[in-house]
Amino acid sequence: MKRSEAFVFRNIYDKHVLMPVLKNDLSDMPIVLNEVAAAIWCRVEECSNKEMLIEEICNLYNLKKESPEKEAIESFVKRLIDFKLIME
Amino acid sequence: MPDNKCVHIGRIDEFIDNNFSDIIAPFSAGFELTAKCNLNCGHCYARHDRGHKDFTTDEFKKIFDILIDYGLLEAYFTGGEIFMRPDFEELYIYAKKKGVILVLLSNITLLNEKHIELFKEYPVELISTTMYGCTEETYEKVTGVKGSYRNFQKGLELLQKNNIRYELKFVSMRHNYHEVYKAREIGRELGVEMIISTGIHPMSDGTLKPMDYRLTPEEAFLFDINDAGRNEFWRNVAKQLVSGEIELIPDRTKSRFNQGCLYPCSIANQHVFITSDYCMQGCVRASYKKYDIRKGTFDAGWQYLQKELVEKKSSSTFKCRTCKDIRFCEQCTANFGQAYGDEEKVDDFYCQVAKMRHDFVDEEIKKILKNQIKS
Repeated sequence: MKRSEAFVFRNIYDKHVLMPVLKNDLSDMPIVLNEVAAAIWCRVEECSNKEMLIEEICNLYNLKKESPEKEAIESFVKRLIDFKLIME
Repeated sequence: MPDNKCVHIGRIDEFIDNNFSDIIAPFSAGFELTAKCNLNCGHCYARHDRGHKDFTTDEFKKIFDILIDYGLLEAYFTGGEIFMRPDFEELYIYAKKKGVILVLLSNITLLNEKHIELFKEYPVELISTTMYGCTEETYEKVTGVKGSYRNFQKGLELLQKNNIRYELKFVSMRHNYHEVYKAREIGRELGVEMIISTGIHPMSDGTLKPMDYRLTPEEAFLFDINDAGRNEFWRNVAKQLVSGEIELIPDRTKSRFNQGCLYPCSIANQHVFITSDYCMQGCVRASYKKYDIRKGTFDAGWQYLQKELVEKKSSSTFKCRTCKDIRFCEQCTANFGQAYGDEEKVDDFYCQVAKMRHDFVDEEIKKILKNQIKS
């Protein structure tokens, strides 16, 4: 998978922030990510597809296969793809 | 203060406040890319003929990387004229790719299609430019350069046509005061914010020549009253003072002065200014407290600015500390330091304008209270 080059990820005093670089339709201001979102963002390029990415995150946080937390992760990854922040 | 910005942090200001308000770090920085300018404005604070070699591309990248590690989120590029720098595009892209919001201060007379293409790919947060006059005659009387008005108009057209976010400033002075109300109209016609300032500052080396261009305190105040936007601003201040929404002495000023601090502003607190001869300052004005980065480290420079500016205490006789007009004042301790080499030597121009504004607001308060009693 690939991250959008429209943003660059930065850690600023323990905050995870996506800073806009290129023209994009999502935001021209910084976007703050929580810890889980940051973990997803940082693992995108190690995974070949979204299923693998979700599994990686579930393993990282010991989430069960049928848990609401896993559903939340799936939904968030889908939104990242819809927003073209990450590409399959 | 109305229409007055000394640090261009715009929309990201709120983001920094929401996320990093307790951290003292250079989240914003100004970069004087060059001292060179293609115009020759008599009122300008930046000396073009300082004769130094501007910092190199590599020096810029080095200090920029350090600032990124310190949390830099927003930077503004200023001059001189930023487009005089041959490596402007390289510096701009470098800064954007590091994830920094960029504001550009330019006279836009050298702006071209190539720059526009660059800003379309790597968006600029804001281009802040100055209209020195509403007519060719007045504009060029201020800039001293024939043909500059035509080039300014071309730059303006490029910004308008390509929807690049920009703001217009009009520095009201002796040479263009007769056009100040016309400037407001032009801003409205263009649908762009027109920031009108009556502030003329000493040169960065302390030379007072620009002050010859300054309006009288009465003229500056007259604009406060006659301009609809300004007038409304001060009437709102009166309303807010009556409702208790704000206090006579602004919170930050009160807190800083109560601690005995000399600088009531946020100088060197979350901001640093890098001069084109590669020195660190607390802000663009505070050129009398410089740290030469070539002779030391950023850490040492930052500590120097903290000690010399943020932590510096005033004497008990510093007039601004107890002044009841300070909410109405464009007081700038750094301006005093720059102009007189003495940060406590108050410039009476500010005192006079502030006093007239305060009297005007007091009259408005009386009217509000009278109406409240009636109803």
